Amino acid sequence: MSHFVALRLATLLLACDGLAALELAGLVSDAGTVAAALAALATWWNEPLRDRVNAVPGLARGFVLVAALASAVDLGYLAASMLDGLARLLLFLLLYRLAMRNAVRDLRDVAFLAFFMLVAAAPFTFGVGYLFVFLVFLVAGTWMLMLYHIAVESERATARPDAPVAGLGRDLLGLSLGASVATLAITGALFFVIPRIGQAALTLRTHTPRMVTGFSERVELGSFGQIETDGAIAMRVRIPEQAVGEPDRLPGLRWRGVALDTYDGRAWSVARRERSELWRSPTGEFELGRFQAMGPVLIQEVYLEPFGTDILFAAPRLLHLSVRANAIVVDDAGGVSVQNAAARFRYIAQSELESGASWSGEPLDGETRARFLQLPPLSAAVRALAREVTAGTRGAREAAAVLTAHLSGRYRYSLALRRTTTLDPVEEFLFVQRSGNCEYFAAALAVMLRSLDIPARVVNGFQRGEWNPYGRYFIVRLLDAHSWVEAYVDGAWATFDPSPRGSVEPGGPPAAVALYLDALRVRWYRYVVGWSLQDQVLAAVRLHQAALAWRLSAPDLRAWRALPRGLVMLAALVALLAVLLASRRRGAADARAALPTFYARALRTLARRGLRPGDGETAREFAQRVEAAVPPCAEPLARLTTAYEQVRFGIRPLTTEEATMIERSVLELRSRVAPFSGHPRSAAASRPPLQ
Amino acid sequence: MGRALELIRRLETNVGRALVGKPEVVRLAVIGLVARGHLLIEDVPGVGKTTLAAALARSIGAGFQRIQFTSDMLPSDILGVSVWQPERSAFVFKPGPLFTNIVLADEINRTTPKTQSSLLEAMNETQVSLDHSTYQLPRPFMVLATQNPLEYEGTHPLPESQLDRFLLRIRIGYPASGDEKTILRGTGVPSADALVPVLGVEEVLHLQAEAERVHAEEPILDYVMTLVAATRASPLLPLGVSPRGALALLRAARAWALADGRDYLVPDDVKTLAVPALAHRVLVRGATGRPRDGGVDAESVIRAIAHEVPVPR
Repeated sequence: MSHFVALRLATLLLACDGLAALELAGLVSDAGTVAAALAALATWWNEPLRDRVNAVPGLARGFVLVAALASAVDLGYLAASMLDGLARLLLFLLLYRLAMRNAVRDLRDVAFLAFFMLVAAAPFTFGVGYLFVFLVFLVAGTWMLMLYHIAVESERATARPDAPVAGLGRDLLGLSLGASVATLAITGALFFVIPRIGQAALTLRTHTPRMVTGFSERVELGSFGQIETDGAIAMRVRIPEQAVGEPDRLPGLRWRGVALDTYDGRAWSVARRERSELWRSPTGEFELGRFQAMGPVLIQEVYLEPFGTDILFAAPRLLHLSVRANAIVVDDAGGVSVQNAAARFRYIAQSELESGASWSGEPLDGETRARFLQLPPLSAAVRALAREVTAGTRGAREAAAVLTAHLSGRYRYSLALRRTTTLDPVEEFLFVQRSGNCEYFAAALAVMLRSLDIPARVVNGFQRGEWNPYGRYFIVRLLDAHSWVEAYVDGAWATFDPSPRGSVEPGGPPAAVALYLDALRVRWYRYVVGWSLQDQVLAAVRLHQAALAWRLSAPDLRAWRALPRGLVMLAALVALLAVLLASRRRGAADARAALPTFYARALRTLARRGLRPGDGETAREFAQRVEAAVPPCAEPLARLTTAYEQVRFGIRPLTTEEATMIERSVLELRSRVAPFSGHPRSAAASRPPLQ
Repeated sequence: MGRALELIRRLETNVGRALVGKPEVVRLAVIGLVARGHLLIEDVPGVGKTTLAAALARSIGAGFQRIQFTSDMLPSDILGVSVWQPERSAFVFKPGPLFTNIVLADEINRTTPKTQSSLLEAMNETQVSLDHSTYQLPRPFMVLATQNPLEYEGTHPLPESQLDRFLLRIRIGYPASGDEKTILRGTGVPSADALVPVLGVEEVLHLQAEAERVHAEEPILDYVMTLVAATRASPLLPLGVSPRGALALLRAARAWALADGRDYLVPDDVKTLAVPALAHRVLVRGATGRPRDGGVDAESVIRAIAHEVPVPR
């Protein structure tokens, strides 16, 4: 394989890698990616077309002009965001460069464009797939740079651009792989060591991927229906410690979001929310509640996807929150939100789980009680049903439990929502449809509880989700969005989930491979994308502790002292000698192995005039021949020859003055050769047409 | 280093006064001395073989003997002889003309192989063994031999073993026309015998020691090996260069480098000396010995080999 073919191959690989990066970031559609990749591959055979286009004067230029105009229009008016337009522009430039390449330089441009593609894709890909794209770029890029250097040098040095280069195959691949691994190791080390001071945010692309209804301050009944079929991942909740047993066996685990208190007959909303901004404590944490010793404490590490909500979800009765924000907003119904949650978010929450034990707290004050008993004008049938079901029960908790059981037992869960009457939605659900989604169940329960003078509120959040044992976390999808009821019984808010869906396991047994890949994705996010200063400090502390522990557990060191001192000294001496010898030999070999650079440069310069030393020709003989052919070069070349002999065969190294003299002589030689380089033969040799 | 160069220049200038217009030949003769070698000067009659040898010998303030070889000569005429001394009732060794520093063996191929071979030990080991006794020759010891290749009448060609003892074989060649005119005019060209010594024995020994110290880099040794191997592999040469020949080439090259003012060898040193140091050590298949007859001679074969063997870079 000639190095030009290898160079083109490496460049094509880079171009495809750049495409893959754009595709991963969602800047180019799947179909567009496939089309662009095919077009890039097709450029391998396009010389006839290129030559024909080049033959028509101005055609290529006109094409570029049209494309530039189209790109300007795209950027200004059509593109959804600036980055989308830029990505398309990059794609066009890449394909154009590949198709119309004339010289090696164009291939270098392709590599640069591919690099820009990777840069453009970087802020939008948190996936682990980007790592692979990046690794491919690293290897292929190193490979390409080496080949490019070889190509340029051989272009300068020889008139035969397609001459095969020795050691191109496995050696070059091995070398570039080695260089890439070294680069990765060094940058990886730097990444984990250099202090991270914050998250960089590129806001070129401002539209959020998805807006979700159901978690705002006013929620129409039925609005969950749209998202309950959406399988996109909303968040992942990692349970770091096994203090509470296997988390997937915890009963009734839910991720609470927002609580709604007012029902107007059509929608639940927050009437008069008292919000307060809570500032970070000196330790960087937020204290939200006191531990009541009523249930186990669950620590959750939540990775919230940016699906268009600023609410922080956590298991009910949130005690403690650790989040990278200066302030959080807490409302009086226990909802927590942050100011700017556009990006993916990570926080750690500690919650005290409900244990079901009755516990007498303080009753609500009158105003609050009235707020959670508010009802719109209600049909008598609903009140009658509530009374009928709860007849004979004692206490609010029992009444709530009976109502919950009634709803979940007698009514059917359905996502097929339709209205056939003009009745109040709750009434229609209870008496006409007798089926609905979780919102209807929750609304019906809340309304009936309120009709019985039990304070209640509707809570929107997520079901537990799918347990991933590989990463010890729950995968919560948008279709896990859920609605349930909290009732104030026995002096505390208790959870009641009337919808039959809440008790069934969602989905079938998950595929192990998919779970494993998802766990890998989370680790990537946790340890690469979300790697923070705090993590660094923690890692350093752990390292320190490990080192201390190791030192303490290594008393064997003293055993060394028991060895005869002479033996130890001998071993040390031998090791020192070996190191010295090895380094010396290597040094000598390095110094002697190759032609001195300055002389090689001089030879390259002369090769441009077609003057190359023969096999059996010594440096002096060559200098004499050059003197006859190009008399002005004789003097600097004579100096260079002498210096070359001294460096190559002599013992004394060059002095600084000699080194300066050499540099000057090389330049002198170049300038004296240059006036003749307009020679047709050498001009053809210096830039051969690319095949 | 600087002193060595100065001494060599002084010697060269002095010899050059007698042999006009042949600086490269003078240089070869001088490096023969510096490299502790013996010289064989071979050319047609009348080009200055004896002049060169005598000039070199005279330029050194050391012992000098000239032996005119003839066909009736015996080894004892060169080495010496033990004679009976009645007053001491013992044989006493009476050294021959060989017991000196510089020996000019004029027309060495005129004598019989028996007498020629008597020189072997002297040239190789700088000693003479005679009648169960070994006599050391003085240092420096150098044999400058001349011979005439065209004059076959009544000559005995030197055996290969003898030829191998000579470090260099020098050809002088006809002088350039301008130089020849100077010689004809005769003014300013002193005869070799009129030269005054410019180097003492100590200085010669110093030069020889300096030459031994010239540094040879690994690639240079490889180059010498490649050259020698090429002579052994050449189809034109049934007899290639011996290891002694390779050693001689390296020794001569060291002296050449010293004369060039360097303390390290470069490929040019080896390449330049390939012909004078190797050509007389090989046999050429079907050679007439005379290029003008259309045959190949050893010098052109060696020259071609040196031209083709890749030099180290």
